Amino acid sequence: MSNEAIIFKQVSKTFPKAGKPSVNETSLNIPQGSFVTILGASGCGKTTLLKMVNRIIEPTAGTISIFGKDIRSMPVTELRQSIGYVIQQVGLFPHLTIEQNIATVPDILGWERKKTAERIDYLMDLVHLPENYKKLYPRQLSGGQQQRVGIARAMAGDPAILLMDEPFGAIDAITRTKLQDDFKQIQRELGKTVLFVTHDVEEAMKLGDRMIVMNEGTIQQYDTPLAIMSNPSNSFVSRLIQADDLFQQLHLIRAEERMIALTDEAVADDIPRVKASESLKSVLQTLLQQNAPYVVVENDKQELIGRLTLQQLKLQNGR
Amino acid sequence: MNAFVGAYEYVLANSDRFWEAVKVHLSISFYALLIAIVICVPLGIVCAKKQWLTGPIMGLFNSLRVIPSLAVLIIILPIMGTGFAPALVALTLLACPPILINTYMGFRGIEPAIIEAASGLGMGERMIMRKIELPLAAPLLLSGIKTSAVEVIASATLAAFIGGGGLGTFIINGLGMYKFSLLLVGALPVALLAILSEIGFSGIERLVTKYQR
Repeated sequence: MSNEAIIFKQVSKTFPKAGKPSVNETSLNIPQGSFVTILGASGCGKTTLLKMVNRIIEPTAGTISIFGKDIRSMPVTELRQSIGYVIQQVGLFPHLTIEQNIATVPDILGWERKKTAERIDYLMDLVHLPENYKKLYPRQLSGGQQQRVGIARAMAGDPAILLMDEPFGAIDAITRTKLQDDFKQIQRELGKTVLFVTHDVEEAMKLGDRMIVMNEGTIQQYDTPLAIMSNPSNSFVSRLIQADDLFQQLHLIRAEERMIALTDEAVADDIPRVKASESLKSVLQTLLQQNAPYVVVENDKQELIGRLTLQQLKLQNGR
Repeated sequence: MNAFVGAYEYVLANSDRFWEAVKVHLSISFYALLIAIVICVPLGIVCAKKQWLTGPIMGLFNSLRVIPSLAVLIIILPIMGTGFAPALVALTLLACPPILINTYMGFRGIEPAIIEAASGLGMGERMIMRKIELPLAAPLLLSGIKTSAVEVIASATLAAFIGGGGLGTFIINGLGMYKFSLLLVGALPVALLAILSEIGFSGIERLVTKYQR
């Protein structure tokens, strides 16, 4: 119980005038500190599922609890102050400076000035924004920078949970990749529990420790990206994530997971080296490019720890 | 040129009457504007939030806008008689449409995502109104008040037609007596007041919209 951050119990939501439920009798556990992505086409109920956690949308049936506490047991404003919320349109307050935007929740909570100021400095640094941006207004920033402020603002009250609704959806591809990498690192560092809605398969797999695939209001599969990729529960999931795309699968497996331990044999100098954390996709690329019989895997200390031949790259039903 | 000198001499000779007229003119304009703000700002906000109210209320005030000011004053006459009060009512009616419409547009124009973000961060409804919606709607709201202010100050001259007093009295008398200098005693200060109020409100507007520059 204690290590579950969010628990959905038989949660349904039917909007008035809608024929069928947007979210249908869904039960779900989100472990503390995990990064869970929710993937699905538009209208599948993924955003509804997310917005029920901070009661932007009220469920028609079932209960949701965070850290063992029913979310209806506290005032809605208090609940929301304790949960970070980031949306695609960012929604920065245009008449307030960057620092005033970030200070929103600390101000509501009545923090001392000094504590708020320190928190702002810390967060600006965390999301890689230069300190002299503090006095600027949102419209003076690019879209990517604005969303960095959006993330900083959401994290200002140091919430344990972050809800994110396609936060990088409106940002150009290059900036998006950078934002994804930076945010994933922040999440790992701080151990926040993140629920992250996206319709981008690649983004869902890249960011999520675990991934929820939704369709027509029900969860089709909830597992690690690799498990879903190698073992899609039904044809919908398989089609959505293109499970038959071998390169995608290779992309999700790291070299150290498949390597054969190196015995004392000598390694010729012309054998290419790869990092333990590299994906099998890049290993394959190295093998083909260099026309080598195998590659050797080295760890962070540049010690040789294993080797990989084409044989190890062959996926047996993804395993 | 003689007319200007004449006007100046008239003001010197009748400074009591002149300043009394300025006072009445300003107070009738001020109260009309104040009452219009008190009624129309909340009404505009309600219209922006409750879509079903928008049609009837906006329609009503827009149709009021079409009626010429003088006509409004004359229509009030048989209902309320002459004097300060009916003139005030007529001018208030005149001041309402710009304030109402601009308040409505100011609040409708706020991006829904901003409000969603604010409530998602845990702001209550009143806090959102005070800290987000009012400041964001303020530029349009102020420009509505500015339009009304200028309109009311100019139209307050017409109040003299129904015995409301003010600087219009000089204009009417000047016209009636065919004395151009007397006419100027009313007309010049009115023009000056209208310009001053325009400048004053524009200054406030600039302060409020600092973030847009």
